[in-house]
Amino acid sequence: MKPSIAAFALLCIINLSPAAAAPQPWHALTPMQQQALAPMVQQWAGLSEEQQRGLLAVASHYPDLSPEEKQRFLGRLGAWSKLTPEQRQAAREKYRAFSQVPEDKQEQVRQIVREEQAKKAP
Amino acid sequence: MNIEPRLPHDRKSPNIDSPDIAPEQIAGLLTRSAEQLDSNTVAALRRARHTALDRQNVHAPAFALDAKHGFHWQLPHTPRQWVATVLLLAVVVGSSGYWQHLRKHEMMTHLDVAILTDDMPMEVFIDHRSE
Repeated sequence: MKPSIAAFALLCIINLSPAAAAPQPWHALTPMQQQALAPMVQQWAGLSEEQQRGLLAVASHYPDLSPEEKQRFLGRLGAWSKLTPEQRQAAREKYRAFSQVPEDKQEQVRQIVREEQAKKAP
Repeated sequence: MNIEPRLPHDRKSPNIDSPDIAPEQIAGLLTRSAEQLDSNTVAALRRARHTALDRQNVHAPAFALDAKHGFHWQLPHTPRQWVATVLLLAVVVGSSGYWQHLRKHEMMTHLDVAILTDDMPMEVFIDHRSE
């Protein structure tokens, strides 16, 4: 019976707890990860393992982005990482709601925002 | 032991291979043959039957439908079966939970990348009042 109990405990540990690991040092990242997370180089060591894991997951999409998207990504990542988890979650919900709006309405909103930005630009 | 049925010589035996023979004729032949078996043959047949029944092992199926006990057959009976069932349930529940956890994170990552790369400014989606 003992091996059965041990196997059960092992399975519970494997299945029920997400991977718990120590934070990764910056030099352990691949060149592509370092490129994608370059805005975070100063803060990297101070991030928790969970924060690092989230950023690494986001960075894994970096190679698939267009040059323009890469520029936006790098320009926004620092500000994004400084948001609280609640703010990020609220932003995700807003974005999800916006993406469900019909395409023509979305385009109207984008146009208004572009015009507002153009007015603000020096 | 000769158990071949002995038919009376004066009766004409129909050819049983003939396609014209009626099933009633075959039944009649068998009845007449059985009636003519001598007592020794009948006793030998009875003994052989009992011997065969005694030697037959009755294997109860591990899981068999039991009309009297409903779904009782589906429940584990031994401690080993209980452990296996609990393990199986733990694996199913754990895997399902872990899969949902992964899926949630995958969706979050896709949304994060979309916000970080969309041509709409990121500030449009951020509520700074909650800071």
